[in-house]
Amino acid sequence: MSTSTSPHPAPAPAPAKTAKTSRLRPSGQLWTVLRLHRTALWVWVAFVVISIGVLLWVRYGSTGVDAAATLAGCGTAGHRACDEWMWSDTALVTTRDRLLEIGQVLRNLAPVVAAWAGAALIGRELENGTAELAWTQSVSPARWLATKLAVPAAFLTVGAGVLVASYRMLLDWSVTHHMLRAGYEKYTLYFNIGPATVAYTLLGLAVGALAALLLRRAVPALVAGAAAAWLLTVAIAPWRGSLWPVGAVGDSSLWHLPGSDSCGGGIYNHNLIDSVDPCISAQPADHYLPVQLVETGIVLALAAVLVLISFRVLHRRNA
Amino acid sequence: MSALALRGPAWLVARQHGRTLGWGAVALVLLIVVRLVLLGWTYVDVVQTCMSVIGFLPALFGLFVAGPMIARDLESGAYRLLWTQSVSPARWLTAKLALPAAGAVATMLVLAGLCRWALSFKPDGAQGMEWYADQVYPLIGPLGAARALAYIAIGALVGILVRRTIPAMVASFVAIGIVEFAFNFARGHLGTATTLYSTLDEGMRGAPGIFVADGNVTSTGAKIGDACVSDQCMREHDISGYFNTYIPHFWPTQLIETGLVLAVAALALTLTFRLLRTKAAS
Repeated sequence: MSTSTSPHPAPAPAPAKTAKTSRLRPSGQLWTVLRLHRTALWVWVAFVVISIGVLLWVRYGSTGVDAAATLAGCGTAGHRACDEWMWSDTALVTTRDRLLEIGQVLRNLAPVVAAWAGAALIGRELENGTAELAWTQSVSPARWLATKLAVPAAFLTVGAGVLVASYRMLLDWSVTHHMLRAGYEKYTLYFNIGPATVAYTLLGLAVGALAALLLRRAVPALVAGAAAAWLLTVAIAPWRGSLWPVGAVGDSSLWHLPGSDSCGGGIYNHNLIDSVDPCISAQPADHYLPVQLVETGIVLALAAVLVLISFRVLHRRNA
Repeated sequence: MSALALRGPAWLVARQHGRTLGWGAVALVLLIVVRLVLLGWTYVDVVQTCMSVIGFLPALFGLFVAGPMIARDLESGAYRLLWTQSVSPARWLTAKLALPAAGAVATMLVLAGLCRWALSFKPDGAQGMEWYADQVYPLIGPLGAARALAYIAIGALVGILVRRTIPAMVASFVAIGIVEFAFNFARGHLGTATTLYSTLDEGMRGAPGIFVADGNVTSTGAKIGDACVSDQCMREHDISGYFNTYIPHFWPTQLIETGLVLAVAALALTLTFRLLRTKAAS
């Protein structure tokens, strides 16, 4: 937003090419993408750094330390059983809520990325004609789109990968301290701690790009891209339970975190969380990786198909 | 047609953005339908899906005013043309804001009536659909309309400040999010609270109202926010039971919050017109 305070309604900053560039400076199209979208780049870097800060704070902040201390020694003489959940303990409930909220943020990256890709990355350039300008400057449309997608994809993969790995470490910590109860909330958390989250982020990029190429205007592409990405994530979610043959009894739509307390030992108060009975439907923990990988594969394949369609649309427009 | 026809800058606003409004409404309905096709058409799913979309409407109005309505005009320079065509900057902004504000308030009031009506068929014990649930509370009174006004005003302020379509939408989204979070956070302080007490054997009782605080009570009657887990802790603090503090009434809190949100709207509007005057003068 730093550029927004400039006194003039600035057009897209033109890549003012200097004659002498240093060896480290990327050249040509790559430089253009990095330079043009530097605000978004910094926002993404800041988001990743701040999120990691929040994760560290949840664990090492006073609330997290209190929550761990509350449950320390559970199951031994003079303490309650580990599976007895104290809803009235503020530190515990707050920590649990934070874990869930971070999970929600990670789950909803795809629509945000799609909105950005649709509006700022591609839609804006098609709307104001700078894309056509680039295509006349010895950059073919296909190469233009390829760079536009590859650079953000690299940043998104690294950033989301780091976030997912950190979040997983935080969840492992909370599982060791018996902070997670059986069922519902684990289901929410479960899908955020594997490569599928990274795949969804990339799917968001592909959806936004396609929306922009079809609509060729920034704000409609923003809205359509975000809505479509959100719908896709919602549409895929119900199928997760049936992605892999189920050995356990009952409804296959609920999961256990690998390594957590067994479901039978968990306490679950249906008056306090929404409506799902968890304990009848746990999946064995060793199903975790296959299901994650299958889901990741499906999401990545979908993203690849959308990218292919995007190139086709671009080709047809310019033919 | 002729009696209702808009003139001057108001006509321009309606003409420029009417179609977007139509498409937006179609998109939202489509979103609801697709979600319900995936989830199922039970009463709870239908009402919750509709209410979560309605809950986002005030923010969407704000984003739209900030980006496509105000920042885009400033970005493209279209405002200069208007300002030289006998439309003063203040009148330009008034026309831009009056129509969407009136429409948004009317929409939110009608939807509040619809939500109240829909919730009157609520099955017993439907979780998360009580009047004090975060999703429900703003949508069954005047608060939704007040939010729409405030977010439109915030959108206008951000649009004038940022002057670029997409950054303005992002910035107003952040600003609106902060305001909404602050009000949700402060709600427990806006009203007279009651406290329910219960013994250890009874366990903590659910409170039918806006959450304020809960925890343990010692034998002296002192309230401890953090409840004990170990028996040792119970003995040390001499804990005798639980308490749960909540606001039991809907209207007083709703009206106070509506008033405060309207004050935010007035503040943002004043700032916007002031900024516009200094910008137009320079």
